[in-house]
Amino acid sequence: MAKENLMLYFRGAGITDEDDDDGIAAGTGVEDLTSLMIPASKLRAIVPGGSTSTIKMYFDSVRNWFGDDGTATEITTADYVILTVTAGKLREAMTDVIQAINGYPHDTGFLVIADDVTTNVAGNTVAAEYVSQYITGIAANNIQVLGPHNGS
Amino acid sequence: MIGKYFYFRTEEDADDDSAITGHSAMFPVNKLRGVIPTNTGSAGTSADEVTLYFEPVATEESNGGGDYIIMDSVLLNVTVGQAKNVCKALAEAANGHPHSDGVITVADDQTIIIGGAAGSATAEVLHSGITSCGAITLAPAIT
Repeated sequence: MAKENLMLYFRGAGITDEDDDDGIAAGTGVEDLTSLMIPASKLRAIVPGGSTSTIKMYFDSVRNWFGDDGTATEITTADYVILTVTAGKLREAMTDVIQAINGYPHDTGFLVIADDVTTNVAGNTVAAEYVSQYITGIAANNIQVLGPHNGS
Repeated sequence: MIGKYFYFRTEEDADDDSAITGHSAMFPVNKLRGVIPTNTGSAGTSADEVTLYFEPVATEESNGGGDYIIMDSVLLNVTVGQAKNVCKALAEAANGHPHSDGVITVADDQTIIIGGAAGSATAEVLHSGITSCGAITLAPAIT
């Protein structure tokens, strides 16, 4: 049984140096994050990510509840993270994620799904961390959290 | 345990801890939508802020007409290089201490009690990587 308020953690999406964990991936702006912690209870689904070597985790929107119905661009869509996985091992990676979410009932409540960082702020080498042997990273610019609606 | 709550206060002086939006707030942990580390002031430097987003307090739905609803948020100022550890501390607090009273003080900047002098209270943080409580932003109710 999962922890009541289990949190999932992601970091990377194109950055491997903790110095670059500034919240803005190499992509565009506030929607392309470098790290995210999100409650496991907000997971909506895990699906293939558009290739035989990616999976996509959808979550309830972090920043938005309801868009301006008079503005075409204010649709509230789910946020997502795309993980790169070993080719052909989508089901195995998905299974490992769910087993981790539901396992370790006496663990801390903090579950690292994927952390690409291999150099910390002090400049030391650290090991990347993945919850599954089949997860190889977070696809570049694919910790996607929709920016807040503003009525325009 | 029915539910755990995160407590935040950015107001240093208890005499001024009065605004509905902005001075202090207690949010249910199960209304947390996500936590985002950022460094908005210096790209290329690790996060010095962590923003927690919660389901909106004041409004549940809109009747249209240009209204929109975004999440409420609390910004925590953190030491560079500590964002992940702060996230971990939040997760552990949210899941630990099953026999506690349910209140988790994440950041309380109060250093002055009601009618008191500077230094009459001590600020409190959940983790040493949190340096202070930043903006508490509650969207006003749609009218």
